[in-house]
Amino acid sequence: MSTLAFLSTDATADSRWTPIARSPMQRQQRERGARFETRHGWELAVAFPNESEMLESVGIAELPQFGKLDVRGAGARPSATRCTWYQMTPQRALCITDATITRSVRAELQESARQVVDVSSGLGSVALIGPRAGEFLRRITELESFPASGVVCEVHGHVLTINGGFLLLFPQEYGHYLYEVLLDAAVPFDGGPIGVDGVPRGTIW
Amino acid sequence: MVSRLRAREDERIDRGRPVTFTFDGTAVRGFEGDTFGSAMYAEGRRVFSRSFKYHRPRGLVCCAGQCANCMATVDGRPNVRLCVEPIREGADVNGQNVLGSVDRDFLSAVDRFAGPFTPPGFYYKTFIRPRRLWPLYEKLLRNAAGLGKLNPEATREGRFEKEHRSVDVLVVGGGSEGLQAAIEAAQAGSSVALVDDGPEPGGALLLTESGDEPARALANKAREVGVELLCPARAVGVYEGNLVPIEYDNVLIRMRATEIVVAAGVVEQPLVFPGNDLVGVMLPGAASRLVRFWSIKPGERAVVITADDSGARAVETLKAAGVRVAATVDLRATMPETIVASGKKGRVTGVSIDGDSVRCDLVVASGSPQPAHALLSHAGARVDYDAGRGVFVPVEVPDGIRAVGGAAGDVGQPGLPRPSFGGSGSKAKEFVCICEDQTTKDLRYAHAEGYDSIELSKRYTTVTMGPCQGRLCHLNSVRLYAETSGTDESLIGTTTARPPWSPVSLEVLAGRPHEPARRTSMHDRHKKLGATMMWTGEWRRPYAYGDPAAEVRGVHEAVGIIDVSTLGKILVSGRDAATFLERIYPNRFGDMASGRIRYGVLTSDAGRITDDGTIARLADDTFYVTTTSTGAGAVVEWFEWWNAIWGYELDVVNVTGSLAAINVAGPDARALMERLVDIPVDADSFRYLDARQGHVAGVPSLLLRIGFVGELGYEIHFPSVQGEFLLDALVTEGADFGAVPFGLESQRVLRLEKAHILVGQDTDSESNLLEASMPWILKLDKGDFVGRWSAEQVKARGLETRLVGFRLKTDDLPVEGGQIVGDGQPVGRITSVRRSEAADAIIGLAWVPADKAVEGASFEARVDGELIPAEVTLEPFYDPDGERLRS
Amino acid sequence: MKDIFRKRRMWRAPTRLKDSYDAVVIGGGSHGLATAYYLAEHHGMTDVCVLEKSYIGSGASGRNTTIIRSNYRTPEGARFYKRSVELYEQLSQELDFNLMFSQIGHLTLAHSDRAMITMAERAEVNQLFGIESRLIYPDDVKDLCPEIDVSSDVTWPILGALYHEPGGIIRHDAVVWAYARAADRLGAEIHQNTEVTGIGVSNGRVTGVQTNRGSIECDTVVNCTAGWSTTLADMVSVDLPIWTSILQAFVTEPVKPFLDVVIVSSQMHVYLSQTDRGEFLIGAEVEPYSTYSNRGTLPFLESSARHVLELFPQLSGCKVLRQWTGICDMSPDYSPIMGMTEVEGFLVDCGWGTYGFKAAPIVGVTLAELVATRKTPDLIEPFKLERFYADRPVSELAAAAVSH
Repeated sequence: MSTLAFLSTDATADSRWTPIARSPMQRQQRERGARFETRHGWELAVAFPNESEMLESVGIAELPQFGKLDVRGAGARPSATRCTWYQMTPQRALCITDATITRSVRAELQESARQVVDVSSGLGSVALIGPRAGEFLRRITELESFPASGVVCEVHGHVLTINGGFLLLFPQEYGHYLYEVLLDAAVPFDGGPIGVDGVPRGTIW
Repeated sequence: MVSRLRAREDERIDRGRPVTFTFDGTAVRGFEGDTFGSAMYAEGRRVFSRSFKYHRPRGLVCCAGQCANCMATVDGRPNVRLCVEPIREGADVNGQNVLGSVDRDFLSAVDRFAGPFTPPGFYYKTFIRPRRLWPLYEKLLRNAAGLGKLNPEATREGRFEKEHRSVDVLVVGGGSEGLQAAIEAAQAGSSVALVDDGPEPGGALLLTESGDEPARALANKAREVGVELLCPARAVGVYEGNLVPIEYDNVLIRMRATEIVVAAGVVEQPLVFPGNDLVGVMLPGAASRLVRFWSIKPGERAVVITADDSGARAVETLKAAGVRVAATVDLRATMPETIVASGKKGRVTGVSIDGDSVRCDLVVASGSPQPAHALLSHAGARVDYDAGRGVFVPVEVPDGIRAVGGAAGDVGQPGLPRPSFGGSGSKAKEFVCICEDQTTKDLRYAHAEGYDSIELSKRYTTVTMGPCQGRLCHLNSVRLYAETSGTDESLIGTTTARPPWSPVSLEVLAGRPHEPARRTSMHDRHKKLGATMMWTGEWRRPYAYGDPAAEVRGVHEAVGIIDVSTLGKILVSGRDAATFLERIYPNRFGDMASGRIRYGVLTSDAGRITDDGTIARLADDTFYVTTTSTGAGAVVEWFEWWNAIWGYELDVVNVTGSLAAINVAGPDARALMERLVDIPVDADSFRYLDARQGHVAGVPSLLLRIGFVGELGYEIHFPSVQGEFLLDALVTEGADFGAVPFGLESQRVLRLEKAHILVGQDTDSESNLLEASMPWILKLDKGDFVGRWSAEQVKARGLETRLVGFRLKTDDLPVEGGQIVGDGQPVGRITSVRRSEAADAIIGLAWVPADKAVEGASFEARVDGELIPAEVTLEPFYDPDGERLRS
Repeated sequence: MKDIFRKRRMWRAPTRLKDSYDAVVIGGGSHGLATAYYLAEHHGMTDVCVLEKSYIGSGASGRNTTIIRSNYRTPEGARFYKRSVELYEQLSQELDFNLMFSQIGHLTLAHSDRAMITMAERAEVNQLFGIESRLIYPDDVKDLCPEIDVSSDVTWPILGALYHEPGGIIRHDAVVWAYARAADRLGAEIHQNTEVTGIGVSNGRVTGVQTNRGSIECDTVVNCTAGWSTTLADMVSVDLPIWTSILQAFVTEPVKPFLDVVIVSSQMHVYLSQTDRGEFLIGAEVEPYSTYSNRGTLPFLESSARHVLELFPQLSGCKVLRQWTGICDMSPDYSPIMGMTEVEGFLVDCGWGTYGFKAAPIVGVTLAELVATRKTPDLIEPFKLERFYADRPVSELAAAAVSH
């Protein structure tokens, strides 16, 4: 429904301007020495110093550019492969997409779902990657069989499994707080932040 | 006198790594593997503290962290149990609760003289008159109480983590029974974790001369079959759902277990006899630990008195350490009439058993082996007194938890010690509760005074309320009580066991010190622009960027920009959306055209105002609802809950975080917007209360022409992640117009100038629409809606109070919350008040008696204790006809 | 003073119930015992028994966090609790038992604008009723509590506080015992371990009470059972708009005097005081679900600990000794429900939520007056049960926002 176009960052149209999307964790990322690049309309932290070391334990990768779609009604799942489907209740699902296909998946889902609301801006997404990701997760949530929704770092969130670990989704407005908690919790693990480019191929999809 | 023995096999100390610390300023040398207490004992120290009330010298009794006898202050931290606290290089250890030192405490005069004046509960009978002196007496009492002293400069130090785990079987207690249970469970395919408070498991095995080898073998076997050994670690308690928090290093493990096996063994109980608190009187376990863990000779000449096999084991260990065992009494075989210990300067010098004296400097004594059933009690097990064995045993253990070994009551057939061995002759104190310094005489006294149930007696004498929480005194107090009152122990019952099983510090429970906070996507920009931030509920928001009065002026004269992203935002869509909203709001919405907005007020099912916001119709079946900043979650829940009952075809989606919102307001707002938007914003194309979609600086947006600040304004709702970008664009383009960012404080003034209410500040849990002067919101000419019955009732009974605007006739700003007074009684209150330059007055909103809700009526407001006149106005203070707003 | 040299039974232990009494008070806590005392002391009514199913003070009276204050928000509440504090101030002398009432002062910290407004309102209402309460700012807070951090380096900086000078703490068991002794000495009978199993009603009036130790004839029954109020009221088919939940509390190991004032944080929903024994007594809010469970929870300990350390990091190493719960009968408007019901002779005293103990003396005085004169005293008129049917609540929500 075009009535909800104002929710999507990719619905930009005025050629005089090039809007940029930023994550609430940017300042902390800059403080950690991240290198930034603009892609898909996003200013992304693509690399951090020493990030390959983090991957030996647990790497924390913020991936804000993913699409997140709130899907209502028992419609068909998307055909694309670079997306994850989380059926929360029989009538409600969350679809996480790679940034390049958010628009097309949204359109596809709108064909059969009762409603598709683009909540990409509303949910932050952070991937926990590495051999100790599971152990690390136990330090921040009681949830244990995934995908699951519940309390993560004292706020409501969702935890999905990915090939290389876990994907955390949480309300964007808690982003700064959550990043602080995650990076602090990673200290005893010698883990830390990794950039978008630091995520090994095949980790997410 | 140094008491360290030559190196023994399986000792815990590493003689190659010496460690030095100070006690009361004097250096003490020990080894890695020692505790502070063991190192001090090894060097010859016997007196570790002074008792709570009588300041009697006290020595090690349990060596297992159960009592308060070895409590001291370590590096500024009070109440540390030295017997179990691992030694640390350079630590500064000091005695506590003394005037002078642990060795020479001037307060021990209390012991010599105060006795007759301080029976239990003496403070209830004293210091009653004169009343004005009570605070002074109280100060004395308070200073006498408490053990260690807190360091007022202390800060939070160290990392404390939480970890969530789950396991099939959790075994608490790593003695032979516990290890065997763990091994069996693991072999049967369960995931098993075992908790033990020692550095290695073994439990009571480690206290016997030949127990190390079998303990090691069992531990290794356990590891082999996959049991996870957590040691040293302590279970805090058992909570609902078999949740067992475990203290393990600096991590609090929140462990959920399908089954809990309690293998915590028994708690050795002291015997009650005159002189039983003398330094040198200790439990068998303490003597064994000193010898076996730290290679320390506990004394030269010992007398051993026990009611079970612990005596024989202790004798074996003592002999191996070269201690001369001068006499042993097995209470299973002989039950003396009297046992009396005597001493000099607080240290034991001999024991008299039925009149026969034996010289000794060490008395190893214990009574009944009380099963450590506390965890079972936490889980709901009942506890019964087993008269044949003189202990409380768990019965009716609930599903999901069980006990093995001593904890289950498997204690063989111990002797039944006398509740007191003092006989009638001795004058010396027989202690039942060493933590609280309560004696047999005290307990008998309490009973005579009529505190005739174990609970009343406990509260009156404070027995079991000290640091040991009854571990070493509860059983003895019950048995003495039974004897005194002539009733059965089984009828007396026990006091309820509650978590924590052993004391756990606040920092461990607190974990990481982060508090959730919500920030808008423009947070950093606000700070860059000079904002002072404040809390609104869980949100951080700009209070002001400088001078709020200048911001107000900026909005009235040019254009202001405010971040209102914290507003709740909810999409309500579906075929029945309009019907639903009309049924849950007092408003009418069904006749609203697409592209139009209405201000709505939500009420509870008792008709009380709970929230407010705007409702924009985006399409026939799609509504965009805003709520107050702190109300979004509650409103979403409210909507979903009611629809769960009504079952309308409806979807409610909370998009609060997905969208940021910026309000651009002021006479130059249109001109500024024209620069940035790609849709027409002239007065005819975009009227007041219209909703339009377009792009602002290229950002996809929903634009709402609404206004809480009395000027032409546009509220832009757009994807929150583009917040910084859009704000930058507005500020940059706005510079040409003298645009000012404005914060909450100036917004408060501006909305007050328009007499706009703030739900929760101008209204409270009892306010209704009619009395809050918003009758137009209430549409009684529609069907039923939530809270309708109450609105009808208010209408029928008539309005008693009204929310009105007022102007103050002085320059003194009253506090919000100030009272309105009539005939000396409070008849209303001021809910909002500010100085307004534009209105050139102090303006505000207040609840007044309904008959005062008349233009120009006057009332009195209490300001700084004085009554100041105020004048009612029912019109907005600024732009009363809304011309600027609707331009 | 001479009493310390004398041993004298505090109260008798009557072996059997009489066949009838002029009045039966159900519930041997502070309210029931105070009522029995004042019935005898003020009205000469001594043919009264107090029936307690366990030991006296075993309910909320023995579990509360001992805070006494009168800084309530509504005029009805302010008047009522003010009188209670006045009675407490001379109660040790009246009952000749040191209740150890320490009026060390009570601070309700405000960490937000909204909270400051609420405190200001309470201060203003209090002052109008002659209750010593005022709004103070961080410097004054620091003077009263030097250990607290009033800087902005904390998560929720303190913006000010409601300072209530007459507020303080008391030895809760002592109040129960003192009232019990006084009532007993005036002739009232206290029957412990006596559980009420039924209440007889005929033609809309009370006729008697059945217990596990026999039956009693009487025409006046006062229900002072707090958390069990609804189960008692069910016996006479009186509907009470009460929902029941638990309040949790815990106590730490004792340390030398550190905190000399009662601290409540409205932001963090936690409060603490230091007892005369040196222990910190800490509590939070009522559990947000209905329950009678007497098991405490771990999240309560965790969040209270976290919040206490926000206020007083010096307490990091303090150890929790014991946690417990008490049952709270919550009313719709956070004000009590006192007085007559539709069953003649059945009087209620409930809806005490988390604020019953501080009202014990005034409850005893007014209930006694009601029983003896059959007329509702003015002070408790606003708390009658009918107010809910007439939609006239006495809303103390703001003052009860943090339970203490």
